[in-house]
This record gives sequence, structure tokens and C-alpha cells, in this order.
Amino acid sequence: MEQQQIAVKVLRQTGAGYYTEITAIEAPASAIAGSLVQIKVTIKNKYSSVISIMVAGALEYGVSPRPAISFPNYWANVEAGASHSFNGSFNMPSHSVTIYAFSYYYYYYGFDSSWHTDDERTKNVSLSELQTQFQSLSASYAKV
Amino acid sequence: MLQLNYGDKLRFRCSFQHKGAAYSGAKLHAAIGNKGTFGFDEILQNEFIVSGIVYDAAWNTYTMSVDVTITTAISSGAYDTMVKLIGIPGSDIYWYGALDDIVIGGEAVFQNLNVSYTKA
Repeated sequence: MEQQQIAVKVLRQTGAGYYTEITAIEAPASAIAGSLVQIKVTIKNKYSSVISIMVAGALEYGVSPRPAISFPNYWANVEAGASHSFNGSFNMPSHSVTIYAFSYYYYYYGFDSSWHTDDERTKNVSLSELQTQFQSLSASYAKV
Repeated sequence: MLQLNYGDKLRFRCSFQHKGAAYSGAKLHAAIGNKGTFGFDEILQNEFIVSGIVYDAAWNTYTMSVDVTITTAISSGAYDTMVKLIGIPGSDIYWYGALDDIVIGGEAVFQNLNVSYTKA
């Protein structure tokens, strides 16, 4: 897929980034340590034509550098005014975390053609303790 | 129905499921006795300390054994069986075997000694 380029930077609009806006981070409110947490980051193209949008994410819980969130399909060409959802995941550490999601647009001006960071949004996922539970006791016996 | 005599061992093969954090402190308690309206009257019993319960993200099945030795503390007759999982969060979990499925043969007894005699 060919990346769509933006030739001219526009003025910052209210809130969000210049060309993109992270409109939602979908993630569970809590997760147990070691579990695979699935998230979805939705980014809107605020520009007047199609652009390439990239997502990135990291976890904040006191670890440096921040562990990255995996997005198998991390960029897409998005039509003007449209939104695209990126699916990602991470393994829940033994701490509550803050998800940091970032949007980028592909920028082209003169010799400068690269991804530029644009918008940022966060969401908290608290650590859930899975209570110990037992069930289904059964037995058989035999003479030994 | 299972026939047992004094000195025999009855092995209970028990299984249960666990989910959640690693856990220690549970016990399997197996007994032979009489199941009645007001509970289980234990006559012979033994316990097994459950170990090796690790963190389980989903229900995981564990299997362990408890042996109960048949002693003269129990009279001959038909009896019931019971196993309970104790020392766990929440209520104990019970399992009951079929009624009167265990038959204790009793102590060795002798009778009808007959003697005849002749000149040899």
C-alpha cells in the first residue's frame, strides 16, 4: 500500500492533532496479570483528503523505557473525515497501567518525508486480582 | 460394592478444578463411615495436604490420592464414603460415594470344630 502524503501543514484545529484525532481507546477497565489485553485505537482523519495515519502505543507503569504495545497493522490510508481502528495488544504486567496511544501522519515537504507525531490519548487499565476458586470435586476408589 | 478386610487400604483418587492465584493450605479429607440425615459420621479417615496449586488463568484440573487404612476401629458391615476439599476460600466442597458400597469383612472368626478319634 502506498503512503499518502501531506504537502502543506494546516493550522491546528480545536483539540487533538493537526491532521488526526484519536477519538477512542477501547480497552478493558481491568485485567489480571499475565493476561493478553486486547485494545482498539480509533483515529480520525481531519484533513481535507486522504492521508496515511500510523498508530503507536506504550504502557506507563514506572518502567523505563515504556514497553510498547503491539499493533500488527499499524498504519492505513484513511479518507478525509473517515476513521480507522487499529487493533493492538499487550501482556498485562503485575501493575496497573496507563495506555498511551499516539497518532502520526505521513508528512511530505521538500526533502522532509516522514511520520510526524500528532495526537495523544491515554486510558487506564487497573490490575485485577483473580480470586482463587475451586470446584468440581470428584473421586473414585479402589483397594490397594 | 467393594469388599475390604482389616489391613487393607482404600485409595481415593480425587480430582478438582482450580482457577486463580497460586494457593497452599488446602487439604483433601477422605472418610469411611455412615451418611445420615445430619451429616456424615466418620469412622476411618485420612487427609492429604494439597500442594502444587499454581496460578491458573482458566479452570485447571488437579488429581491427587488419599489412602485410608482399614483398621479394627470399624466393625464389619456396609459403609459409605465421603471426600471433602477443605482449607479453601469459601465453603468446603463435598463428594459422596454410593451408599453402602464399602463392605468390611470383619475380623477372622472360627467355628464348628469337629473331632473324631480312632486307635492308631
